[in-house]
Amino acid sequence: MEQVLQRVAVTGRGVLLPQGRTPAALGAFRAQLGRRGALPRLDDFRAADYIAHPKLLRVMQRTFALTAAAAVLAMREAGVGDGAALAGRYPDPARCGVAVAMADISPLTPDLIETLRSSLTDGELDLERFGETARHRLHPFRRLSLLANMAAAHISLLFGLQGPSYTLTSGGEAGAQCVREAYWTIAEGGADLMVCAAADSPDYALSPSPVAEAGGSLVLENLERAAARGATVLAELQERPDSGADSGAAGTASAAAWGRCPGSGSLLAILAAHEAGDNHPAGSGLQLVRADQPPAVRS
Amino acid sequence: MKSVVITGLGVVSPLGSGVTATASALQAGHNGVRRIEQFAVQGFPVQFAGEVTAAGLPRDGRRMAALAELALDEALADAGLAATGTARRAFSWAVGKPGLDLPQLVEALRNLPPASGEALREQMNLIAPELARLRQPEEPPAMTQRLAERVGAEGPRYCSYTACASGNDALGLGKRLIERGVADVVIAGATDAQVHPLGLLEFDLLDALAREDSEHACRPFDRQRTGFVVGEGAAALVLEEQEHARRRGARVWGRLAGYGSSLDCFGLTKCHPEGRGAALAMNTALADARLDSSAIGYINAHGTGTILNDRAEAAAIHRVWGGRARQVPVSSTKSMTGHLIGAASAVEAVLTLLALSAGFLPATLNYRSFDPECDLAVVAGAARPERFRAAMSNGFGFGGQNSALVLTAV
Repeated sequence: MEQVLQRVAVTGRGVLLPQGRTPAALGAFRAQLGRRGALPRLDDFRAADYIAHPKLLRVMQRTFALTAAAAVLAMREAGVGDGAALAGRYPDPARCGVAVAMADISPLTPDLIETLRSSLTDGELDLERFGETARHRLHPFRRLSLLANMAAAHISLLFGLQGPSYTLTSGGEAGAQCVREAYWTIAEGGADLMVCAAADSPDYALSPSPVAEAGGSLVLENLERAAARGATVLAELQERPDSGADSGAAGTASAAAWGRCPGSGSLLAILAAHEAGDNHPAGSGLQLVRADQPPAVRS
Repeated sequence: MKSVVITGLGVVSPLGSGVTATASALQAGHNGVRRIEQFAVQGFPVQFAGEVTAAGLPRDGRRMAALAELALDEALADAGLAATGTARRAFSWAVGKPGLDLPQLVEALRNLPPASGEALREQMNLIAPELARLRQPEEPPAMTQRLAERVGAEGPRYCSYTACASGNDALGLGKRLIERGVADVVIAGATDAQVHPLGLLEFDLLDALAREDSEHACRPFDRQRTGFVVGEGAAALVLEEQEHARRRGARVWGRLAGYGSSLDCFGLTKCHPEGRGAALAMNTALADARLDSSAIGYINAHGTGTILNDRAEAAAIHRVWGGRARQVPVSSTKSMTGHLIGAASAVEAVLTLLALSAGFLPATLNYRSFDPECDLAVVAGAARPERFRAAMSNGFGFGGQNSALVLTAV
């Protein structure tokens, strides 16, 4: 049986970097990553400037806020906007999903340290005391602030997405893997729209080396659906014929180049390739092509 | 479309280590929930859990990887595969949230004065690199690379985490890699070990844990249920393209016929009360398997034992099965194992395959009183002999993450 693959379009990009809020800032950011020393942060980032959902903001730690804000920018460029606008363009929210890449989130928090310090007897941890006091001192939503898939949950709630959801935590390649899974989900007919997003924040990274602060997002859509709603197609995504080889050594090299962004690096690399006119983002297994080619067919 | 069969199983859970021991315990209805032995629980609000009792397991951050290694080694041997590396072998694994070694943290803080506010933040920045260095081998990316090398997976290596749906999603992503022709074999599964002081406290803070402190605390679908019991374990499944398995004469446990993923889009901790997202995941899995719900002979429910989750899952089953919802046998094996969090649905996929293979319906332990809001055909008390050809296995997680698998006989 032959399966006709759906064509997949890139219709939105979101970028949050210390150097700027557009893909044009990616070149300068990439150059900064290659230099030694401290990395600038997104000091002027305020989640409320992007996310009009006070209840969610109260429980959204910074890495998730950056991920969600990047998604907001991408959905804005895609012309989808907020959740209500999505419903107007995609009446079936079950056809819209999310794919996120995330580095491990640090469990080291001020409330934990304060609780531990109050549980010491003669300088040693008194586990019984810790057990008794932690319930009153640790933040009740502590667990939720540490779970990698919470970024996807926030994005789902912001836009009303009810479709497939993946959170990749593979390290440097996770960003490219999440874009690839989103691509295939649409290509195989499992969704019409997928929001891909990733971010890093040094506040929530437990890393032996400095971590950059950045967020990135791509909106992928079924090309026909995107065209039907009058969206601007920024590029078409296709699987590279040599995708297996591409995701091996090339993936490792690409991940290393963006290594100071352990969660978002390879997604930012795809955005940077698009911005630079490079149609072959290394390590993604995908290629960016003009949107006037016939659909791929596989058996 | 390529078909995906399962040719190797490996499991370690509170029911035992290894497929043979697990199958016996599952059929006999053993209870793996007991008083915690890994650390002194005096002072802790919860003192019972589903612990793995295998000898020699580390009691620190290395435990998750050790559990994974046991499951992976067994699955590879069961499939008759060597660990020789090949690019046509991929890896799709879910790693639970790594804990924090509290004694290590106390040591790091030892010479620093008490602080708060910005001064405390500065102390955190000071100690973080060394703590990170100590913890790095057990972080998901590093662990995934190490485990993939152990089983000779030189193709794509996926590590994912979707809370309590993680195991199903790792299996689903692995299934897709074979269907797309990226790999002939995918070693897939999950590991998690949250029976540690901080893990228990974090779930307790969410008011998710059973209030009853006994080995009978987990009562899925029972009217008196109060919450879940934390467990730990790992499961590995060798997924294989059917023709590839046939050519090498591999034994086949069953087919991974369907996978569905969805989002509740309702709340961060509470699931949709009418089971909207859960039903969508189940329907998507059925469509993927090209089966009607009437073909399903058994549901291994997510069945955590929390009031809202069980009610929502029952509603979802009614949405999918309609008038037949009270006829399809349902059980929650979490009543025997506890809730293995990130590893739960991978272990439950193995338990479902063992039941399918041996022809019995696993029991829901501790089920005594019918809840009209969970109006299901719960297999209560003891396992029951019954042959079935297709089963659904559910996994739902915090953040409204839902996933379902359809597993069938070949």
